[in-house]
Amino acid sequence: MNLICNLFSSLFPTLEGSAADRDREQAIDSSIRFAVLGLVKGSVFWLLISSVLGLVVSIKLHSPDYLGDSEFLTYGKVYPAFWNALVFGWLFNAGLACCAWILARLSGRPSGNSGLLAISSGAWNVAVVIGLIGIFRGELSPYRMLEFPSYAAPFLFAAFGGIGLWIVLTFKARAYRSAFASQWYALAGVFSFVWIYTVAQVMIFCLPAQGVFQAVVASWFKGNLFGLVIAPFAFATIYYLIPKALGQHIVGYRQAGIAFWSWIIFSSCSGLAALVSGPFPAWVASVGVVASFGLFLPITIFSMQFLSSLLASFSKIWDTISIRYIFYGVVALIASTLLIIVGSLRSVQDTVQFSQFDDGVRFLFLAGFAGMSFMGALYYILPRLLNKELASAGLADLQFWVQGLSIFVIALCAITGGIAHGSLLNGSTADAVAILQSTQSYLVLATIGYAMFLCGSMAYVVSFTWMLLAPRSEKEKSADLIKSAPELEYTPL
Amino acid sequence: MEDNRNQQELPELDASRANDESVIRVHAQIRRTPIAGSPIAFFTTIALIIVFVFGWFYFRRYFAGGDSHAYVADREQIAAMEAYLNRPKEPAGPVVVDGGALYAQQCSACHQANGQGLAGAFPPLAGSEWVTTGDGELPIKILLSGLGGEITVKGQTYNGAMPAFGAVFDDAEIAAVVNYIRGSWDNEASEVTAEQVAAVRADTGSRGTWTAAELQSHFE
Repeated sequence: MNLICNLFSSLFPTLEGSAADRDREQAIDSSIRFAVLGLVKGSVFWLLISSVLGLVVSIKLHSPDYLGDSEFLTYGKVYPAFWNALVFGWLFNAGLACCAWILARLSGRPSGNSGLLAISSGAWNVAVVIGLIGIFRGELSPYRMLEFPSYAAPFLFAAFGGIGLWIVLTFKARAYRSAFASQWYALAGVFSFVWIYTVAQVMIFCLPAQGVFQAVVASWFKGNLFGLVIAPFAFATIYYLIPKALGQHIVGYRQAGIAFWSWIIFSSCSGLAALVSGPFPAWVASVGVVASFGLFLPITIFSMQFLSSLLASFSKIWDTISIRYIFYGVVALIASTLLIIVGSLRSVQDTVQFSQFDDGVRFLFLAGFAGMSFMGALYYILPRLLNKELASAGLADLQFWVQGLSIFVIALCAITGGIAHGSLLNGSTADAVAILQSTQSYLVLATIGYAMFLCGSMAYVVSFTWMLLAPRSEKEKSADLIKSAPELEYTPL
Repeated sequence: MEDNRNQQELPELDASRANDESVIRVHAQIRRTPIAGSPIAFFTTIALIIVFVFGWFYFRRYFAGGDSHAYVADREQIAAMEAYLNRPKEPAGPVVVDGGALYAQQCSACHQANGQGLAGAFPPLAGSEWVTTGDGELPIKILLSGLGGEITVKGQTYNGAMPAFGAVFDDAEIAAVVNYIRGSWDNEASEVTAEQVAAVRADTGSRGTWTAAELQSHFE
C-alpha cells in the first residue's frame, strides 16, 4: 500500500490543495460529527460495561462464591463476556471512531457518505449486544474471542463491512495523493478484520476444519485480532497525534514502511506460539515462536520513532492531555510486546503457559497500549467534533492517573502472579489447591486494580456526558475556540 | 515558557500544532530523503540481524525437520525418542500366559481371590467338583460358552449366569485360567493344554450358555 503511495508521491512531488484554513477542517468535522459521536458513545458505554464485568471476573477468581447463585453470572460466562465487551465493544468503537476521524481529516474532504458510517456503527453495537446476550444465555462457542454465538456473526460481519467500506471510500476520495502511516494502518486493520473473521468463521463454524486444525485457526484468529486489527488502529492514532498535538514530525519516519510490513508479517503468525507443547505438529508452534520473536524488529523501530518524537518535545508531554495518554500507550506497547516476545519462548511457556500471565500481558497490550492511545486521541478529537472545551481538565487528569495506575497494577499482578503460580506448580510438590491459594494475594491486588479501573471509567463517563450536555459558552459559540493550525516545522538536512 | 502561554490560552483543550496537509507533506518528504548515517537506520539493521540470527538457530533447534507428524520439537527429545524406537529388542520366545493375572482381572470379582465365591450368589471354585473333575474338559466348556440356570456346588444351590469367555480369551488364555483354578486353593487337579482347549472349542462350535443338566454327563 505504501509502496503504491510512494510511487505516487515520487511521480507527483507537489501535493495539491492548501487546507490550512480552519473552515475546511470544520466542514470535515461537521460532515462526520453524528457518525463519529455515535461510535464514541458506543465506546463509552462498552468501557463502563467491560469495567464492571472485569471487576466481577476478578472478584470471582479469589472469592468463587461471589454472585455464585446467579446462573447468568458464572465465571465461564462473565470471563468471555468481559473480554468480548472490552475488545468488540470498547476498543473497536473507540478505535474506529479515532480512525474514522483521522481518515476524514487526512483525506482533506468532507465525507459525502457518513450516513453509511452512522448506520453500520449502530448495527455493529447492536451485533455486540446480541453476541453478549448469547454469551449470557450460555450459547457461546468455546474458542477464545470467537465466543459470540454463530447467529451474531453475520450481523457483526455486515456491520463491520459497512464501516470498512466507509473507510475505504474516504481513503479513495482523499484530496492528497500521498498517504500517511495512519492511513496505511487504518486500512490494514479494516482489511485484516474482514480477512481473519471470514477465515475463522468459515474454518471453525461453517465448514469446520478437521480435528486440531480448528484450534490452530482459533489461536491464529486471536493473535491476529489483537495484532492485526486493534494494534493497527492504535498505531494509526499514535502516528497522527504526535505531529498534530506536539508539532513534531515522526523521527525516523523513513523506516515506517519496514515497521509496517514487518509488523503485518510477523504479527499475523505470532498467535500460533500459544500452541507450544500442544498436540500439534511441532513446526506450527515453532513458526509462532519465531514470528513472535520477529516482532522485535518492528518494536525496535516503533520505540525509536515514538520515543524520540515524544522526548524531542519532552516539556510538552505532561502539559498536553492527549499526548500524556499517547505516551502511556507507547510505553505499554513496548513493555507488552517485549513480554509477548519473551512469553512465547518454549522455556518460558513451560512455566507461565496456563497461568494468569497471558491475561496480564493481553490486558497491558489492549487496555494500556490501544485503550490509552484511543482515550488520548478522543480527548483531542471531542473538542473539535463538539466545538466545546473539555468539561474538566481535572477529570481527564484524574482518569489518566487512576486508569494508568490500575492498568499497571492489574498487569503487574497477573504477570508476577502467573510466574509465581507456574514456577510453584513446576518446582514444588505441594498440593495444587495450596499453590493456588498461595497466589491469592496477587488476585486480591488485581481486584483492587479493576476497582480503580472502574473508577477511571466512571470519570470518563462523567466527563464525556458533561461535555456532551453542557450548553455552549459565548467563547465556544464564537467558533474561534479552535485556532487554525500552523504548518508542521521540518527542515531537511 | 511558550508551553505555559499556550496552556493559558487554551486551558482545557489541546492545541493543534500542525495542519493535516503539512503532516502528510512533511512525512512524504522524509520518506523521500535518504539520511546518511541515521542512527535509526543503524539500529533497525541491528534488530533485523538479531531477528534473522534467532530465527535461524530456533528453526534448527525446534523445527523438527519440518515434519508435519512430529509432535516433539526439541532435538534432545527427538534423539531420545529415536533411541527408544531403535532400542535393542528382546529375542522373541514362547509367550507364557499368566493365568493368575487373568483370573484377577476377569474372575475374582465374582468368585473372589480366594476362590470361595459369595454365599448364595456365586459358587466357589476352591474344592468344587465342577472344577476338579476329570481331565478338565468341563471347566473348559463352561469358560468357552458360559453357564446359566440352577447349579449345585458342594451341596449348595446357586442360580446365576456365568458369562462366556470364548470370544474374549484365546485357547492359551483359557488353558492358563483353567490351570490356575485347577491348581490353586488345594484343588490339585491335572493341567490342561491349549490343544485340548482348541479341540473342545472345535467340538462345541458356537452355541448358547450351558445348563447344569447338559453337563451332568461329565460326572457319570
